Amino acid sequence: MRKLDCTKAEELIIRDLDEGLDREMAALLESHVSHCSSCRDFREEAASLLASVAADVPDDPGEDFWRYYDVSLEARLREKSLSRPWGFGLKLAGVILAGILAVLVVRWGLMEPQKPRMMDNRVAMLLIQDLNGLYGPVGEEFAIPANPPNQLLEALTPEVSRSDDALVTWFEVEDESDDLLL
Amino acid sequence: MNDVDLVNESRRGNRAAFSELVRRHSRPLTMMILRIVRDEEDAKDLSQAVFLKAFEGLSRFKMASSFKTWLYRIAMNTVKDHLRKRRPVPDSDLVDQVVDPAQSPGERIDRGTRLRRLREAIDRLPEKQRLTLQLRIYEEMDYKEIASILGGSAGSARGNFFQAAKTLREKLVKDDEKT
Repeated sequence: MRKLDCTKAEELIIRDLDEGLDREMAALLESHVSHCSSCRDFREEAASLLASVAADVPDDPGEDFWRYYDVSLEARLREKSLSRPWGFGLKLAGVILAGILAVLVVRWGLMEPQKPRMMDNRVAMLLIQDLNGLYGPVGEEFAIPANPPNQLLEALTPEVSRSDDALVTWFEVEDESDDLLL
Repeated sequence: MNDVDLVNESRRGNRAAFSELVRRHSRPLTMMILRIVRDEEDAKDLSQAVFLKAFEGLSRFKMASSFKTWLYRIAMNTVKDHLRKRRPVPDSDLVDQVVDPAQSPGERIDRGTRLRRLREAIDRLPEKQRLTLQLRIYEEMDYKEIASILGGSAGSARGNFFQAAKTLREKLVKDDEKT
């Protein structure tokens, strides 16, 4: 038959008091305890201790306690559920706002800035010549030197984009006038 | 309706379904907390806090365990936080709670003193050992259930129980020797 040392016996004593042991283990433990006074004491003390813990149970607090418990918990839950739609609404508003901002940022990033497109001096010169042809040469104060400095050309360059309606209309007007001349 | 149905209904916004879950579980849960914290007011507040957390976190409950196990897991975490913060129970409260008219005044004081020492020793146990002992003795939970609430395996829960009982016994024997 197997023999137990005191450490293993203590473990079995607690397990026996807690869950019980199978027949073989119980016999093994009994055989050890019968000739080990230290483990006998351990068993007595452990049994008394676990019984004391088990007996030290607070009483039920009573119906008044439970009534107050139910009422106050229900109130707290109601408060919580009332605050929920607002919480959800707030979250939804936040998401929508974030979405709008994201769209704006993306569009801002993709959009090209409205810079003057006709920065080519040669084009500007052709336009001025065409204008001179249609409406006569500009006055002396607006006369353009033979080799105008870049700053002057840029100043005279219309700040319009290629898609600008005014420019398109102007070209159309020009086309019509050409037809008339013919 | 079983708990699963009530949880599903509650998730759909049915407040009455959640109230039914509260009605089913509030008393055993509060009593369990009361047996650990030993203060009715604290037990009420903690138990209500558990239900409020459950209400808020219902959408995150994956139903991998039962609603009760999930609820008790929330409760254990709430109780652990409370125990870490709380002040020690005054001695006079302990003596007052154990008055037995059949005992002589001397016996009452002896019993009160022993009980105080026992509770103090339980309070000083490592958290997991203490809660394992209390869940096992007061709630009569099996080790698998204890492990699912406190974490770890059934074997480690069994080990925690053994260690708790052994430590308590050593502590009380030492105290007896001192006195």
